[in-house]
Amino acid sequence: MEFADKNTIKLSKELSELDKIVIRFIDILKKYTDYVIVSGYVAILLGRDGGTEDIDIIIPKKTKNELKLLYEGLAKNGYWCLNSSDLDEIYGMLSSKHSVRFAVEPSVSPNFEIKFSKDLYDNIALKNPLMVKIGNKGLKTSFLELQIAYKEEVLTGNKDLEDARHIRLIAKGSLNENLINEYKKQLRSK
Amino acid sequence: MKKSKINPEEIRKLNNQDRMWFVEYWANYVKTHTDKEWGRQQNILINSMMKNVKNSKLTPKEYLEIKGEL
Repeated sequence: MEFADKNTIKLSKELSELDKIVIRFIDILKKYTDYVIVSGYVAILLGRDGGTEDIDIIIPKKTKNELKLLYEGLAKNGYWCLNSSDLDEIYGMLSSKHSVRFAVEPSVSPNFEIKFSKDLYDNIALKNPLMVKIGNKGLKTSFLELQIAYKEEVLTGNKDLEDARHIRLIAKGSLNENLINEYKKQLRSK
Repeated sequence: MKKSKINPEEIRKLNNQDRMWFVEYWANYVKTHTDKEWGRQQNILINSMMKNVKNSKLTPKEYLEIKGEL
């Protein structure tokens, strides 16, 4: 694992089945929208033991027409939305800060839990992604300081604290501790 | 027969400590081995999980109910 620069990590591992599933989905998604992968899969990508059946992704807010293009692009490539097949309903859920899940039809998992950016922190994650490069592929993930702060301060479940600990240890020497503390302070007072 | 005095909170705490110990052990393994080496170990677990996950016969409604999203 090479921390090439502030915004890039290079991996030279063999792809897992989960990595392949994520890369295939992202290859389609990125044709229609910017995105950033957050939460559990980021820790897994960076070596955390264990798997996940849902991959959390934040995308910028879309108009209904933009969402229609994305939805049709995913459907054309074999994905279905688990929540609804009605675009108005899907748009309504996303616009009211809920997430919707996409999986390869007819399966329900692994699935991609997509949300519209809902606050300042989602926007920061979208605008300053950490690029994780595996071979000739790249995945945009939330940068590690924000990821750690969010897990330690907001989510705080056992798994989240373990993910944060893993990231802290593997990225030791490359993390801006002041930035983590600043985000934690901000998130506490939110 | 004496009733054992097992404190569930104490067990939970010990379990969490064990889990965190393993997180630290594994992160150290990742730090001190090549991506290919830790990736090979990680992939055995993930690929096996993916096989099980893909075999799920749940409908979207059942899945979302389990997730508490319906």
